[in-house]
Amino acid sequence: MDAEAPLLIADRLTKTYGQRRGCHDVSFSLYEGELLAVVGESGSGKTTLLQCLSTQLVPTSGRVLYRMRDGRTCDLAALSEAERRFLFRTDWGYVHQDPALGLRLSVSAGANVGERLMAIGARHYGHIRRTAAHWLERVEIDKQRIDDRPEFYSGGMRQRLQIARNLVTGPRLIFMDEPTSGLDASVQARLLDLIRRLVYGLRLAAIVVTHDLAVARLLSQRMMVMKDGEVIECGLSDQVLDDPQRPYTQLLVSSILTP
Amino acid sequence: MAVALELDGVAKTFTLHLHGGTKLPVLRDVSFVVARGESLVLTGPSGCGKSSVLKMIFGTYRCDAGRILVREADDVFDVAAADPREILRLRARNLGYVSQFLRVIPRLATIDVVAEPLVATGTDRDVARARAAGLLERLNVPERLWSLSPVSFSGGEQQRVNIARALLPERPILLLDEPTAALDETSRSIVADLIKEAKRRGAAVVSVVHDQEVRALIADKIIDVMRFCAVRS
Repeated sequence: MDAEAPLLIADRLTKTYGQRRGCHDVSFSLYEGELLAVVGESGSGKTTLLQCLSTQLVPTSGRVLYRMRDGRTCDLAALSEAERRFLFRTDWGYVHQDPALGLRLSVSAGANVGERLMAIGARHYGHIRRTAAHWLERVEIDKQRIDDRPEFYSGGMRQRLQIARNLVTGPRLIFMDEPTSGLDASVQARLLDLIRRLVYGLRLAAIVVTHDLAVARLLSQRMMVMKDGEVIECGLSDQVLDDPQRPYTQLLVSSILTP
Repeated sequence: MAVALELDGVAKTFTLHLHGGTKLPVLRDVSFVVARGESLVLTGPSGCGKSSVLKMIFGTYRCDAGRILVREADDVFDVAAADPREILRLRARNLGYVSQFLRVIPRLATIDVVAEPLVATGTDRDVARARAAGLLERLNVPERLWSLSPVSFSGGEQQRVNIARALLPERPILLLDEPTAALDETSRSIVADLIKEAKRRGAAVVSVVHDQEVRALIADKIIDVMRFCAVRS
């Protein structure tokens, strides 16, 4: 198997909603161990792109290619429903901006994490509970709270629990949609530190959608800037932020408030 | 001596789209070589493009013309033409960079900030932390600060953390942007010693240093960047 082959390739991906443009002609490659940030204002097509990449939306044209665990690179549109489900249950994670969408708030934290394991066939209760406890620890949630329901957790804890739930199956690719917005600055810093350590430590690939350029700088190595559904600039994150080429990117960068 | 770094006809112009597309030519025909074990100091008035030269070598600034060749044994890499992944690989293996700012996630402990580049290239975390501790100690960063985030440190402390982080992995090319600007005399001479040691192990060093004494201690050659100034007065 070629470790240098891309894990995911977006090939001229376009999604239109009637007359309205979601994303247009987006192409890029993503490799293992790489964290790619997609930045832009709301309405620029970031979330549409993320949903097309993760097969939650069917693109109007273009393809998404993905290298499966057995080394085959497949067109995601051609996968069977079972294969797609396998990707969603184990090989991929999807971290929503609102943890309530990625968690079940009324069942215990342990069950939220364990559920993903059971979906791929884990049956031994003791083992599932131990693994869940281990992952709570890794995302810095006190093991004592394993039986509490996340509806009683703070926003930051819920987000960390959502990450644990996603990582427990050993995915190779994580999609994150504004994972840190809406959190206090100190909570955000903790989450950024955690995401960075986990993603780079486990050599995952990750695509993070964010409107926050400071978050993108601290998290990602590469960055794509979107406007009106198109990628207008891409490159190393420090390159895009410190030497922006396009008028819109210069406007975005010059509008950052630094305390 | 073997050439480690070669700039050939490098040029940089900034286009300010928010100011009616004003073109700001900064550098043209930047050409020089730095050998292994050699230290080049860039001088010139503020705004003449000294930091821009370092940033182009590191790949942070795009390069409008020319070549930036990083040589290692028989391999040659042109930073000016490399794609992002190649530049990342080059940074991890070849390029150490001390910037004027320390940008880190506000929660990371100082010792981990310093150890991180080593860990990222495969060194065991405990080994990397032990070596980071040694370097922090040498730079007189008090041990009680090591477990804290450097975000709240003084300018001089942050700068020493920045230096430790860039020098620890012992990369073959070091780019130092005002590494001693915020430091007292004792710290300045320690940093000068560290740079001399890096040269002895074969590192090629390109730096911007205003302090005359430090410059005298580390410079093998000096280039006035004004001679690459793109706007002739």
